[in-house]
Amino acid sequence: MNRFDNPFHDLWVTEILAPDEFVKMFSPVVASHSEDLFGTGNVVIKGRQGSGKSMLLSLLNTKTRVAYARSGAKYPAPASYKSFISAGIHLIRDNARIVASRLSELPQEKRKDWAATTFADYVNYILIQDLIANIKYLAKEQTLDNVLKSELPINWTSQNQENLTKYIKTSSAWYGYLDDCNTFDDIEKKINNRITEYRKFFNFNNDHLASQVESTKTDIGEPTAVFADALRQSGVISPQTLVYLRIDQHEELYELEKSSGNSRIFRQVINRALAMRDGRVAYRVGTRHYAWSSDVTIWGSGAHLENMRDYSIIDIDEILRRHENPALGISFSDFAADVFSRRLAAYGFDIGSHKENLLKSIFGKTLTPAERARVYFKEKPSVLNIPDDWSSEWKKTLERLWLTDPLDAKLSEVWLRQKKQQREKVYLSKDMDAALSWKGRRYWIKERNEAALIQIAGDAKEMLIWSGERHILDLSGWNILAFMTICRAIWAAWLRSTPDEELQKTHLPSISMDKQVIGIYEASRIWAEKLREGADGDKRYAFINSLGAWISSTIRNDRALSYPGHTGFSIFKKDFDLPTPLTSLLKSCRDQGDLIESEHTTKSNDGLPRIKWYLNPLLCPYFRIPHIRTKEPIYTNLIELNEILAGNISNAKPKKIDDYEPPIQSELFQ
Amino acid sequence: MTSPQSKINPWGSAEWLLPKIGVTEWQGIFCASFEPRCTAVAEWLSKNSNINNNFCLRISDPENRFTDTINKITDVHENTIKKHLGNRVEIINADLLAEAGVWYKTINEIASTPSASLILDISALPKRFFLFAIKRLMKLPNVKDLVICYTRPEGYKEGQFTEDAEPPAALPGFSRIEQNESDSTVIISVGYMAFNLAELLEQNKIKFPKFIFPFPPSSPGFRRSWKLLHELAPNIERQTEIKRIHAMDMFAVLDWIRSICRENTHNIDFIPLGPKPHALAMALAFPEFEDRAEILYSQPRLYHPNYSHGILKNSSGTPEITSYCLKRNYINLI
Amino acid sequence: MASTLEIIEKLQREQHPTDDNRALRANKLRGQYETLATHLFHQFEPTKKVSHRISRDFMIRLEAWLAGFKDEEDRWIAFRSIEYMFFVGQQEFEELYRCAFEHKIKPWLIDIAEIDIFSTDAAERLDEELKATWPCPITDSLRINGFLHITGLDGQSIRPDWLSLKELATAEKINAYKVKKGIKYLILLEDFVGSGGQLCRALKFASESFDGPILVIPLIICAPGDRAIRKKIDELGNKNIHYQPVSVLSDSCLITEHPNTGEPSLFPKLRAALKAGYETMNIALEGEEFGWKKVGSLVVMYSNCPNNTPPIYHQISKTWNPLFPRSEREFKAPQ
Repeated sequence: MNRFDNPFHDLWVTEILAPDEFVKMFSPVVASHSEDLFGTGNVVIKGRQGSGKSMLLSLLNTKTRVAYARSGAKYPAPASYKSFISAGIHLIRDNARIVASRLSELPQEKRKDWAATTFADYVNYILIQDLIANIKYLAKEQTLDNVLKSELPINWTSQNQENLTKYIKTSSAWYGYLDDCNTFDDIEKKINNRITEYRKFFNFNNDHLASQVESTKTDIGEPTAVFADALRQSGVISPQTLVYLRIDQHEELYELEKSSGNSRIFRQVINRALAMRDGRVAYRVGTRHYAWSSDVTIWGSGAHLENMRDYSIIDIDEILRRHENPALGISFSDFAADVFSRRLAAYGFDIGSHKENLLKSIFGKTLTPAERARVYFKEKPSVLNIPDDWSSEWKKTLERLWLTDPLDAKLSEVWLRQKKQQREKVYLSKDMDAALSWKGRRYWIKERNEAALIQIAGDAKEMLIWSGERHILDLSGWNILAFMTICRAIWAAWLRSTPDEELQKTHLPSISMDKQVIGIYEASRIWAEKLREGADGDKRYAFINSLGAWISSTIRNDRALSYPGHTGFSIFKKDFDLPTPLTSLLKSCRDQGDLIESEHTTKSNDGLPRIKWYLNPLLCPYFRIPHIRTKEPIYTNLIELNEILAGNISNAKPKKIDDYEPPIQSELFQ
Repeated sequence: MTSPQSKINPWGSAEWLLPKIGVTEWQGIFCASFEPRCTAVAEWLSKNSNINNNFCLRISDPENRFTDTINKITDVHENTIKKHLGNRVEIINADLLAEAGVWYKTINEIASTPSASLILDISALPKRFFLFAIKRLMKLPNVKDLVICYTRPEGYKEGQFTEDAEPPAALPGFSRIEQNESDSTVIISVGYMAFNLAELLEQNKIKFPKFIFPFPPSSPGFRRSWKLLHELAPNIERQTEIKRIHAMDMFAVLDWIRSICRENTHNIDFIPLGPKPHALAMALAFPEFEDRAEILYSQPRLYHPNYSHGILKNSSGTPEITSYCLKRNYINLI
Repeated sequence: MASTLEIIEKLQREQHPTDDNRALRANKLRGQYETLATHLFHQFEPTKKVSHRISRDFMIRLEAWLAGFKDEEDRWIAFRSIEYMFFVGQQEFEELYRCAFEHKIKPWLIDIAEIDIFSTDAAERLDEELKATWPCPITDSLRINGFLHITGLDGQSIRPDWLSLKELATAEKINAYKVKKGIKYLILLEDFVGSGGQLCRALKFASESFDGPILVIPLIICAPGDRAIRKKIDELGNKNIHYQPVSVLSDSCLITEHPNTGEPSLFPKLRAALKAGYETMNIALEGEEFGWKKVGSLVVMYSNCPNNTPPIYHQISKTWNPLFPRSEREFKAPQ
């Protein structure tokens, strides 16, 4: 183990891990609650970037399963999962979008159809090519050490290959393309050839697509199903073996459709494959949220896919978000803790006795609000703002209280400013014991703790403190990539300031609070800068920056803490349904995980349904707002939000953290 | 037998190189844009060469808040170019995000004269377009001579100068033909902005990226390029190869790329974020490795009007135009 | 030297009363500097050592340097200024050598010898001319052997630096050597030129003692030096002298006494920090806080820090711990 290295150096969260690394790092926590993944129907796996979605899909890879079998680690599938083999396509990596690059060479009225049929054919053949590769790979591995032989024997004999060839050729699904093949080798070559022909054509190496290809385009889903069946019938795999076809990076289609104007065609084609439901194959589609739900029509028929009938959904973010109650199965805390300890173990740290609460051992407990207030206080003079007309008893009491319990003092000050107390002029009272009755109202306190701390810190000119196990888990916002980003930054801060001698002696660090604060701010800054990536990156970045600044100053200026929950905002649901640039941007922010959306039960008399949003927790340190979501969000409307968007609200100016000026707010949204 | 030491690559300032080529009449392909430097080559050529049957492309971004401003400035530049070329020029309009098939047609039309001697000014042409164009022009048998010209601006806007980058994808015409599971060598030409490529690098968990760092020139390029490098790969290993190559030396980049790619049979991903001559080298290296190579790019949809300012001048006060001779007398020089 | 990074961590962790984003900026810059340290700064020979913790080593030096500034604003500005430093590492020099060779020497010879670059014997003819060149450094700072090694040029067996040669040789002896070796061309190279004083003196001597085409190639030259040399060449009136710098640092990159158009917005505040540091280090230097001849170059080379660079970055004193301590191994002739 190299003590100088950062164990969180690689922010793996994709499937591009070598299989044996995968086995060590993969946390089975999410997989154990995704039984559908190993079932017989179609499954759509939704998750934000960094949710662990692709990792989950790659669990189905043959290479991964071989690695598990050889390592002796338990393959994280449900107890009696069925035998299966899988193949897949990555729509981005496999350049699915090239099929749209020569449409202009066709007459207008033929384009849509041609695009759809070519896309379908391309996807079919790539899946078959990969299926063949997987079969041959496993057959070869099994000759070495019989790996997976009991559950998934591959009988790749020459007799079976002959049978396979026969069964394949009898099907009309190929439209005659494979007629001139005699052996399986011929078939494999022909399949590879076809894909190469396509790529050469779309790369503009050839001026025309070979007519043999053009005239034999297959229908989506059909040849793959035929091939799967042929594998079973010929004896290559057993008749009960399922065939899973993974289609990952499905969101690429959404992007492709946006930029090429071929609206919805490609997704409709995939939907058609899912609608087939004939049991010969089952699809596993990996996608980000937004790409899935906006269109479920089926190419060619106009019918719609139905959730539960045609497919089921595994929504990773929802699984982690909803099941905060450990009794319901899994919590993000379990997931993160497991990932954390695996990572340290893989790096050679001796976790041993600390395994159960490793996060707490290393990051410590999160300071209570009262403790944090004392840290901000730091023996400074009181930053309480006590008006002159308050009674001298109050002044003395508060100033005395400040020295021992600054949070208490602050909350008292705030309480005195509240409407009721102002009306009753409690601040003039001389009877302290009676007056301090607010302390019994625990809920009132709980709602206001974080906001009060923000004011104390702000007035004392101190940075907010975030540290400890609880904060780190909460700031991750149920996203494992966020969690790893935080761990990496904190570990780097600790490494950087630790002399060699101390490092040599350390077995398992206990990272002090101030290093964690630095690390968390760094992670938050990185997360805020990531806003620029992805769809609408620049607009989202500007919008979130303005929102963050607005929410931040609202909290700091609310001296009576009348609205402690103003760490989020809400608008009428009906307004959200209007198709405006602003609502479209809100959706984009939600889809990318910048904003967390939920229903809002309104407290206003109109009773109209509302939707509310909070900033992604990991953005909160950057904007200096609490990540805790309590009470009521800011009730706002489209007009005010548009003003914020346009930079017309003075306290919503974006941050300047480089030497040049950021783009002018008002320009961005004309 | 020529030893590598004295190999002479046919490039240099336009006034040095062009007379040596021996062509008496050129056909120019220019681009009218909002960047001031788009007129320099047309002006210089009109005074120092015989040019005829010229084309001027006008490439429009998708409609955005700068469209009016950009159009006004482009109109001025278009008129300047027309003036210099004495109206011996055909204007062709195209969309930045047009499908490659559209450009294919345009390029075939432009380069349709028998024994064409072409000068292509890439100063203001988007990478997406000119890389595709040059790939095609190198293949067309009727193109007898091909020279690429490039003019630098005095400076680029600090901070962000493009917006709304598309997700990273293979450039049209530069996709991999064979897909295999082998390791990937990723070669990144460093520039000033990452667009959406930082995510790509992180997601693909590239083990050993190689960087081409444009040096010289130094300030402010040095500072901005290192900033971008850090942004792209904040935790790169100490032994990571960061090859410094002059921003204009296309041939040196080409040689280096070829030597790297010939070392093994890995997949190759090219990411051209840097100066246009470096991107050009990637495109010219591409055909040899076509089976396993891909050029990835994240195309911005919006350019700020003040993306660049001025035209870089040489010590005599005239615009510094760098030119590269790729083909002469039907012979491919690269 | 401190082994904690208190000052730097304070910058990252504290809320500044008026500059809201200071901590985040500090955070971002620190990350960048660690990358620069890992890939560039560690090459700095005067501080080079074997280490597993390169970026931390640099942070420790940075901490000690920042501790020298008493005023917090100066400290912050000094911290920010590192982003504007131009560090010329080994690989940078290798490329500069290559550029000098490919982009300056070869085209120059091609033009003088009127070689048709497209003819089949072009390379051979160029080879012949290259054999007749005499690449020499101007001062011993330029590593001529490195240059010859990278470019593959043979050069001549005697490779004197012409500033020294000026003190020791005569035109006759030089001419005799020239004739004996069949030398046709003199190529004078220098790694870094600030105000140009040394180069001009060496050039005058070369002009008077070498009979033939002379090519002067500073690899990195500051704008004032560039102007000085052009002026000198005009004055000398020798048509055989050609001047082709590889990289010119414009005035706006230099932190000079008076502001230049287009200089970064940091510079006015940086001048104050330069002055404060200079006063603390308590040594009288030519050029004062701006470096030798007040050039104000923000340049550090892996071999050493030039004295044209402001002294806060390189001057060692009892009261000052510089970031890139300058090694005075070279004897500098009186200017």
